[in-house]
Amino acid sequence: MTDAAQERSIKLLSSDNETFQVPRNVIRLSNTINTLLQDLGLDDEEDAGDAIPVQNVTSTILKKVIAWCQHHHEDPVAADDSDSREKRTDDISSWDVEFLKVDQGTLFELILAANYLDIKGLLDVSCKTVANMIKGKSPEEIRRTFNIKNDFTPEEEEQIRKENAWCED
Amino acid sequence: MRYLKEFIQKYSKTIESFELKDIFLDLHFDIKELKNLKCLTSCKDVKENGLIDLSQIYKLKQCYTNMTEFTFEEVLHFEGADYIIKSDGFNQENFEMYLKMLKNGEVHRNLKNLRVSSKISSRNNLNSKKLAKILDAFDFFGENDKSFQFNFVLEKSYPKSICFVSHFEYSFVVKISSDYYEGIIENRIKKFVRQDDFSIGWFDLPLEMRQLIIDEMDIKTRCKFAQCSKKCEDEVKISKYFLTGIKITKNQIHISLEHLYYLYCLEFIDVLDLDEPRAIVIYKT
Repeated sequence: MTDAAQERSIKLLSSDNETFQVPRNVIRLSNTINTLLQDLGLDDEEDAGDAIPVQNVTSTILKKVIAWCQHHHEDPVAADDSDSREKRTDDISSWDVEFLKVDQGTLFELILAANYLDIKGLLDVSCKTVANMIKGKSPEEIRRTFNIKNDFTPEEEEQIRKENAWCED
Repeated sequence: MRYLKEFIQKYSKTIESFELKDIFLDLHFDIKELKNLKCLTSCKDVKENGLIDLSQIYKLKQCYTNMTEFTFEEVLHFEGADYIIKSDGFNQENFEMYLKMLKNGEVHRNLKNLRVSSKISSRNNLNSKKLAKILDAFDFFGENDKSFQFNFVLEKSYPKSICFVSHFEYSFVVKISSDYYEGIIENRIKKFVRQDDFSIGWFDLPLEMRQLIIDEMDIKTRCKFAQCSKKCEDEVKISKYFLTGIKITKNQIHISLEHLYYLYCLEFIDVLDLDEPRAIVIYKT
């Protein structure tokens, strides 16, 4: 993307038909949008034309996604973390922690939007947030939080509880 | 502000169908045993005012547990939550002072005319300790003081909040922001409000997203998660960490003790010597 292109903005259209004007250097964090613009040959165009429909992302969520990109668009590109080491979930920035203090439905929608728009940073941090929500909870608490039906028989549950006794604090 | 009675009437056929479990969430009662629900739901205040008498809850609790003491905190089971407290009439400072005076008996119990107007509403401005003070204040009224009652209210501007309103014309809007309680409360409220909007669960996410989240979990959390259901257990088993956590060389499998635990818990291996060093090498057979 050229410098001139980065200074321009594009329009995104949410699933509920709200249009957002977003600087390109902000929305560059979305690989989906990047690829789309490149494939359509609009990357260096002065005017990217009509708003790009962002299916399945509501205006409420899209607004949040744009806010996240706005805050992080100057972050250095993260190295690909593809090794097998156990990941950390305590390295979420305080800004992101505050940003992701939302209800569970919104958090899940953010994950879906980040996945759809292919925004790795947002996807990572929102998945970590959900993982943190689970951390420290008992199986029963996890079930309640995420509406998971316990389909173990009492015997199976007792068995699995014994097997996992080591992970009790 | 809509009150319980209105809520029940609107979203439920009978008052009796609004079960205690839907209000008090997690008292570990066997719901089948809750035959005494009518002592709550048929009481005069519930029917007429949508109010629940705290003393009835004490009695109910005593019916089903051997506990002789029963705190408000137990009823609400607020452990570890963050709160938003909005109180008509108090700022943070004078609210605490008021509670202190209340506890010390310096304020007469008959506070029906007390009317205040300021608000406390910012997130997290009430931590557990501060909440405990409020709960202490509730206890001050005692189980025999039937004048203290609270109400289960949903307020339009706080659709996910639970409000407790006393007869003393100060009100708390307690927004329980811990994910745990939001999950429970929203799930409960869903029954009475809208069937399609309030709650979103684990399996509402696509498998790919669920796997991404599992990949972010540490081993202990995975093992806890695997205990939730058979499907959860399967999802943990196919997670990336499980597949990639073992380094296989020419004739050895290198595995950390933690990962060994993990496999053990998922019944992929049978024998585990916990006294072995942290790094373990298992020879291929």
